[in-house]
Amino acid sequence: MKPARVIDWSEPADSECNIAERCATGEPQACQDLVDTHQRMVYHLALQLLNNHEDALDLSQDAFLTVFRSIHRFRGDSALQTWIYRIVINHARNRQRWWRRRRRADEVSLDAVIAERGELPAPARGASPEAALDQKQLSGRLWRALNRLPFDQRSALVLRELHGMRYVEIAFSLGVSNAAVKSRLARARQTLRSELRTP
Amino acid sequence: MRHPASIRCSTGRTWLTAAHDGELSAERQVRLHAHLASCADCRGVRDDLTVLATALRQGAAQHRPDRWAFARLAPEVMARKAMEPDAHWRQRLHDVSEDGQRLWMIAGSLAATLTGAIVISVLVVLAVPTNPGSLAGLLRASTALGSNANPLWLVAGVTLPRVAADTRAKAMLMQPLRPLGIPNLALTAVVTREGQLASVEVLHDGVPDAALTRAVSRLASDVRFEPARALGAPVAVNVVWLLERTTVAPAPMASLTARDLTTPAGGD
Repeated sequence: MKPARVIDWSEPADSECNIAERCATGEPQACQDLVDTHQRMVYHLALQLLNNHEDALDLSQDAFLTVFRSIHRFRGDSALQTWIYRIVINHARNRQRWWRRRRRADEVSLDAVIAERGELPAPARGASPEAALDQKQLSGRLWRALNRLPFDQRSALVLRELHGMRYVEIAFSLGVSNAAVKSRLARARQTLRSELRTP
Repeated sequence: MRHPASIRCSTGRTWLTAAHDGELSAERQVRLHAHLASCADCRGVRDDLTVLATALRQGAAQHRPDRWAFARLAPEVMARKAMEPDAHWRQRLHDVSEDGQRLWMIAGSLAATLTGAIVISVLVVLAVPTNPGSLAGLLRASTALGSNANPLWLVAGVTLPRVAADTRAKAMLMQPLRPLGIPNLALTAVVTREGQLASVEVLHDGVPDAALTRAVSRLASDVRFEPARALGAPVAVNVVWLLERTTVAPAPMASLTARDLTTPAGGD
């Protein structure tokens, strides 16, 4: 099992508080540094939640602008990164609702993304080509199943499995309780496990 | 050697997820391991969780964009930020709408306020004002036409208010301390259902006169009226009196007399 990346939940680093204060005063260099530091994380999370490159870029821009507008409200109750996660999640959730209202959700084609960007993961040493192909097919199937999960379950699973966040951090990012996080993860995993059983 | 207490499969499944996420205490991990050693089903669940995590990470790796995918992100963010040095209220509103939680809070507050208003309105409309002191009774009394808070104008069908006989002498004796040098003087007031003067205002040209104000104040407190009536019931009315000088004193002097008060000029 890959060990989860540990984020310092208890206290944000002094450097984070410092950069937040400088951003709140509108210092351009501080804003630039903040974007440079977090843009990869923000974009990846947006892409994993929306599954569309252009939407992810657009959401990332909006999320950073929201960060700048509300950075004065950052009190250091969490790590700055977790606080930004929360903003990204809120933007993504709203965007999902917007798309759902316009019946666009079904049109987001993950197959197209896989066809465009998909490539074989590096096969394990000694693994046969057949095993590598099976693994790739399984990953693709589960990835599609992940994309079909309700947003709340998908976001919890993405934050846990792909971003290595702890329950308390996921709860903060989603604005829910720890118990709700556990429940959503359990339901998401149950759905994906049933996908594993599907021939 | 002390063996940890065994656990049920349902508990084991819950703990398996927590253990998979690195959120299970050491003591429970020991008990879970003991359970897994004897439960093939739970071992299967554990293996599924591992397969799922691996597959999801591989899927994410397959779709991982190259570093050029977001190369233009930072410049575009900084350009957009430079274009909005100070957040416009529309943008702030947009931000609020983007923040789902805050939107729900606002919507909840509005819904609660609206519900409260509807409930109060229904109570007021449906309540029977049998008790004049009740909320409905007070509202009915204060909003009814001809009430003290909503006086009538003197129109056809409304009898004029008259100075009560027992206070007529007081009104006639009222004199300001010194002669008034005000040629044009008018008095507006409400004669209440109880026959008292209320909301008295003196209208005249020139600067305010303290002696006149005192005289009017005494008049309002001492003089009582037979209230105006509409359809036989006492009603409050707005009245305007035009005051004129008397010739009782040797020197010309304006005074407030019963004759003045018994002949209101009528509605505005």
